[in-house]
This record gives sequence, structure tokens and C-alpha cells, in this order.
Amino acid sequence: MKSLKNNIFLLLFFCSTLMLSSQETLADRFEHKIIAGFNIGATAPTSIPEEIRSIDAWWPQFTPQLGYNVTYKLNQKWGLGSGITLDYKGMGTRARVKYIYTNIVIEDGSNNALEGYFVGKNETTVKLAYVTIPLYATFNINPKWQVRGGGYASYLFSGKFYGTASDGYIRVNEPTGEKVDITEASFDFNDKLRNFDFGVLLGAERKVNDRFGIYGNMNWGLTSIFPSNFRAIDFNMYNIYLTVGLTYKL
Amino acid sequence: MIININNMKFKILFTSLLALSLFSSCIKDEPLNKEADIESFSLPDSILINSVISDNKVTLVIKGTDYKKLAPQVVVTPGATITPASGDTLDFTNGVTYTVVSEDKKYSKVYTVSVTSSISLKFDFEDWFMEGGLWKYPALDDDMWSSANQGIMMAKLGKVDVYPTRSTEDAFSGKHAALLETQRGGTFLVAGYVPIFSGSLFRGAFKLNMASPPQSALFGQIHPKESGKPIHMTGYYKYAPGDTLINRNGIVPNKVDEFSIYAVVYKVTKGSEGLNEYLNGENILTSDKLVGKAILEDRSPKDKYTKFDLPFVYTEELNYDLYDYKLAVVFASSKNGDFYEGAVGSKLTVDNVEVVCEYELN
Repeated sequence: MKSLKNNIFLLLFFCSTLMLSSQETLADRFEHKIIAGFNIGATAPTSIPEEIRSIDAWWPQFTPQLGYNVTYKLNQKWGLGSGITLDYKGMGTRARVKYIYTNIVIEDGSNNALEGYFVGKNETTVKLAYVTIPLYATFNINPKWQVRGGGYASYLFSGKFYGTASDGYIRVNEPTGEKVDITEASFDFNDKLRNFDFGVLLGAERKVNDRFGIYGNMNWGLTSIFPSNFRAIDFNMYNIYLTVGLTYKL
Repeated sequence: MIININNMKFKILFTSLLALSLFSSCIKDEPLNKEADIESFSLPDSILINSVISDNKVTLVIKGTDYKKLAPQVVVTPGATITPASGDTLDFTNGVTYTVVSEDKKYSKVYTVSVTSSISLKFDFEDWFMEGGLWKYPALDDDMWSSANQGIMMAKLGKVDVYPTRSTEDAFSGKHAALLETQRGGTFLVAGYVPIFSGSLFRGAFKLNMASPPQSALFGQIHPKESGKPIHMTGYYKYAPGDTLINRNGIVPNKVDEFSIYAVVYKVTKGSEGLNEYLNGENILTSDKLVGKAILEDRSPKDKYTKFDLPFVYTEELNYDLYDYKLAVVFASSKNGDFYEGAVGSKLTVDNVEVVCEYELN
């Protein structure tokens, strides 16, 4: 899938190079921008598992996106875009869960955790800091509007995933196992996070004047934030974030 | 620079992107219950004295000795089914086995139910077994007794070589006695640093409270009027304190560990409601519900079996018209174990304990 996409980019690139008119220099075809925005969204399962009974609260974290974008104009309509951004993604949620299979580390400094089915309340805070390189095709609908589609690759350089399990109980190993009341226990999966994320990017930008523009990008992660062998959370969670912000043309 | 956020096109784009970002499906139907517990097992107040439910066992204490036609009301996990059914009249002379199947039909639990007509107050600590499911810990056959073994098993995920409370062949009489030995603790999330685990054995129940371990011990079993007023507690014990007394701050210098042997009588709400009222490790000796205490004050080491005979001292008379009462008997190898102080290796051995009661003649 990805290689197909790359091939299309390459094809477009070569076609446009052939059509390059003699008086236009290569540098003229590049457009450089500084971007600053906010990521709003959730790190969540794409389909809510039946174990999550209600989502009682959601709150954002301070999650800016700052970076540099470059677009290469293939022709009047089409272009290729990339860049490098510092991408913070995060949120907090409070949910009521039933029989969520999880583990709670009871003894400090030990890898042993009480594993089983938890029923109760869960509060989770996610703070992920990525360096992201996007790659996308751009299409100018008119002089003001540009839409884009492509993908991104992110490297996690700092990540936090922690929270509490409370007001409930855990059944050890099996639903008929020992019942342990959990008034409040904390969990911390910071060092279990996967350190990369690949996803799909779809967005649009509107020119406000010669220098400024506003943009909105949907970034949909296709890689679960935890590796598949991580069992404490039994379902995949993806970064699903909308970025809105300003662009400044250099 | 003017940014016209109200621009229609941008608004549509923004809204559709936001909609995309919402979850692709909503909250699903609630999963069926997976648990298969007996939550309560009862007989009419007129005949039921006590009902103790543990992992796979129910013990009923009733008035009278006719076990042939009892029709207990059983409450199970919502949605679960039980056979024989709740309310069925059964003969309990040789015990009855009940099977509970969870609402989702995937899990089941078997309980054996036995009925006795008296709460024994003579304890020889002869019969022990390994209790539990996946992991097991030593427990007395008489399920009126509990220890913190279960909590230590959970905290250590079953990786315990020797439990603090167990049987020993070093008995005063018979084959076994109860041995309580203080062990090294650990640092636990929520509870924090717990320097020691005291050996403990008590009449009552244990329900692990990770936030406050001392509250896990639920002391006391119902003491019906028919059993009489406790006047003495007798028994035999040995005690060898561990070398170094420690607490959360480290070593406690110039102090030797001490054990606890005591019994208390406290009042609870009259009727079946009172069965669920307990004093715990934090308030067992200070609660205003206490009416009588029998405490062994000499806590010095004893290398040979030594007899104790403790009179109950009452602060108010028992009044069964107003209250029901519970009797707690407590042994611990480190008396301040509930407050995280003790010496690793302190050993208390107890055998042949009896609570002697006085019967009213009127």
C-alpha cells in the first residue's frame, strides 16, 4: 500500500520535471512554511470494546504542534509536501469499565502484577511527544484552498500513559478467582509505549493573505500505541487527532 | 490579518474532520456477568445464628439440631443460576453441594454447604488445609478462623515459600499447633512500604484492602446468647522475638518485639444486619463498640509452652435485647504488625485455646 503510494509520488514527480519550463528555477517550486497548531483528539480504540461501559469525561492536554513544512509544486494544481514537526498528542479520560482485563502492579520494583478482570472506574492520562515527518500530495482547488492527503511517520521521544483504577475490584486471573477490592490503585505504562507511530493524514489549508494561512489536518494513527505483546490493555489504541493552526510562509 | 473563522467552507471541513475523529462506534451492550459467587446464604432469623461464606465453602450455624428440612435463601451474582435452586428444601445432614453458573455460562463455582448447631469455643488447631484457587495458602479447617495469609499471597502473587501463619508439629497436645512467624514485607503501590508481615490468626474474616492493609482483617464471629457470657480465655503459648525490631523509619533501637494474645467482645446491630459489622485492625482495641476484653499483658519471651488464663473485663453488661455481640480472638506474632512494626523471625506458637463461658441460670 505504502510502496504504491510512493510510486505514484515518484511518477508525478518525474512527469512534472519533464514539463519544467526553462525560465523557472527549481528553488521557485519550493514553498517553505512555519506551522503552529494544536492537536485535539483522543488516543483510543477505534471501536469501543464492550468492557468500556461509559466514558464520563474527556479533557485535553497541552498538545501543540510546531514545525516546518515544505511543498514542492509539481504543476499549477498538484504538489508534494513534507516537513518536520514536534507533535504533542494527549488527553485525559474517565471511564466506567466492566471486566476489563488488566494488570495492577502491587509490589514496587517488582515485575509481578495482579492480573485479572477489573470492574470499576478508570482514569487515564496520555501525554505523547513525537517528532513527525509527514509526506503527502497537495491539490490546489483554487488560489485560496488547498487539500492534502498522505501519511506520517512519528518517533516517540517522550511518552506518558498513567492513571488510576478505583472504586471497584479485580478478580484474579479468572472471573471466578479471588476478589480483591481496589479502592484506588495506580498504573503506569510509560515505558511500555511503542516508540513509533505511522498513520494517515488528510487535511486542508486556506490562504488568508500572502504570508498567513490556517490549516486543519486529520491524523489517524494506524499503529497501536502499545506493542501487540502488551497484555495489560487488551485492545489496540490509536492516536486519532485533529490539528488546527496557522501557517506562516517564509 | 483577519481570519474569518466563520467562512462556511472551513466550517464544513472542520466539522467533518471532527466527526471523523469521533469513535466509529458507540458504547456497546453491557457484557453478561462472568462471576459465579454466592453472595448471601441465609435461613430465617429465628433459626440462623451465623453464616460464613468463603471461597468454595459455606458454613451455617443454626439453632436446634434438625438439619433435615432446611430451605435456605441463596443470593448469587446477578444473572447467575444456582442448582439446587434457592428456596429448595434440602437435607443438610451430610452437607449439600451447590453449583453456580455465571450469566454468560462460561464460568462456574462449586460450594459445599455444611450446617452445625453450635459455635465451638474450644480450639485445638489440629486440622489445616491449603485454601485458594490458582494459588494456595494454609488455613484452618474451621472457617470461623482467618489469617492474613491470603493477603500476602495476593501481594506476592502466590510466590511465597512459607506463609507467616501455618501449622507446626511442635504441639502442646495432639499433633499440631498454630505457628505465627513475622516475615519481611515489601513496598507496595497504594499501601506503600510495609516493612513486615506479622503472623496472624483470628476469629473473623479477611478481605484484602490494598489501600489500608490493617483494615483487611475483619475481627469477630457472632457470639449468640446461647453460647453464654465469655468469662475466661485459656490456652498455651510460646514466644521467641526476632532479632531486630523495625518499622517504616528503619530499626527501632533498644526495643524487643512483642506478641498479642487477646479476645474482645463487641456489640453489633441486632439481627442479620449485624453479621456484616466488624471491627478491624485499626479499631479492634479502641472502638466504642467494645464491651469486654481479655488481654495477655505479659508479652515476654517464653521458650516452653506456658499457660495463659485471661479473665474478660467488661465495661458494660451484655444486653441481647438491644444488641447482638461478636467475639474476636486474636493472635499476632508482632503486636504492632498492623502499624507496620515488628521483628522478622518473631515466632508465636499457640495451642489448646478455649473461651470459657458462663451460662445464665434464669
